Amino acid sequence: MSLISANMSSNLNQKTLNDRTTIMTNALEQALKRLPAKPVPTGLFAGIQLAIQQEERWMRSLRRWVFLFSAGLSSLVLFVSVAGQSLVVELSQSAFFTYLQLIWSDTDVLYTHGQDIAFSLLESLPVVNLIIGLLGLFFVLGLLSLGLQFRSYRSQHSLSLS
Amino acid sequence: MSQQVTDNELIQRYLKGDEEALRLLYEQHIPGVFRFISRLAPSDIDPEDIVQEAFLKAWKHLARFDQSHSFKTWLFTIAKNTLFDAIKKKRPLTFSELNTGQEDQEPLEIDIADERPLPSELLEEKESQVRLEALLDQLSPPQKTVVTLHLFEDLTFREIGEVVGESMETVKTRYRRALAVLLRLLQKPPAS
Repeated sequence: MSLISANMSSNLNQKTLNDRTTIMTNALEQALKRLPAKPVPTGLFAGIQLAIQQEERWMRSLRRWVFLFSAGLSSLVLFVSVAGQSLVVELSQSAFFTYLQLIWSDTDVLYTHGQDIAFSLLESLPVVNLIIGLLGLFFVLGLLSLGLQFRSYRSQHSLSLS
Repeated sequence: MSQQVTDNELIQRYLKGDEEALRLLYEQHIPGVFRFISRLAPSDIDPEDIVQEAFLKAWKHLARFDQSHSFKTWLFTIAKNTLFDAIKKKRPLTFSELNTGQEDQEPLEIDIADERPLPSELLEEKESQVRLEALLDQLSPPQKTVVTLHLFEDLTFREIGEVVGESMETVKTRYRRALAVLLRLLQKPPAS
């Protein structure tokens, strides 16, 4: 009997405690809701509008740069391919490959006339075409690397919703 | 629901070139987002900057916004992420800040003695709004986010779930635990 009353008393205490917790939680929620909020700064929308306008301007200029970049890159690629073809033609017309064949067929000539062979090889190179082609290639690689850097910058600053 | 339709209509109007629609849309939501961020932002971060950046991001992605979802929760999500990114950039996160939900796994115990006064009495007696604000600051960022969105911005637990990317049940538990933490803190004497 005393065990039952002890249980009942414990249940009642638990119920009272739960009721009290609910009341306290509700009171706390009400108190929190009454907390005053910071007033919204007056120029906030104007600031956002200004930021949007700046972003629009930046995007317009970006589009222009992207267009110029693409045009420049295409021209350079075209230039490099033309210069490459011309280089191949020049090389085939020069004695460069003949000297190479000579070295390949008779390696002893390198020991006997090494210096002369080296100079002849250098002289037979179409230097101007080579420089033009390499410069073009260098610019293409530079532009591509710029483009990749820009892409990674944009992806770092893009919207994160995760 | 009518708010939802209005937001979507305004977005449609803006996307068709009506600049005024963006002003209407933003002016509806700026106060709520600002209140949310100003409550959540630590003192070394300017809430105005965060709100401005969040609305700018929203503008940039407005055309891609899925209109089957709530614009309001989308906006709050962007604002919350912008703030958390700014906090991360400003200083390395502490362990408690990184703890995004571990406290939800601990058993919920509210140790309340019957003899103690009710919070309303406690509030009348010993704490001002400043104390309550200070107590709110002691919550972990995920808990504070949930409490702020539910109590101050009237977002439902489902909407908060969308904002924080958690299930409604997790959000509810986190909210209850946050209140339990606040009650526990409230019963402690304020540090002088």
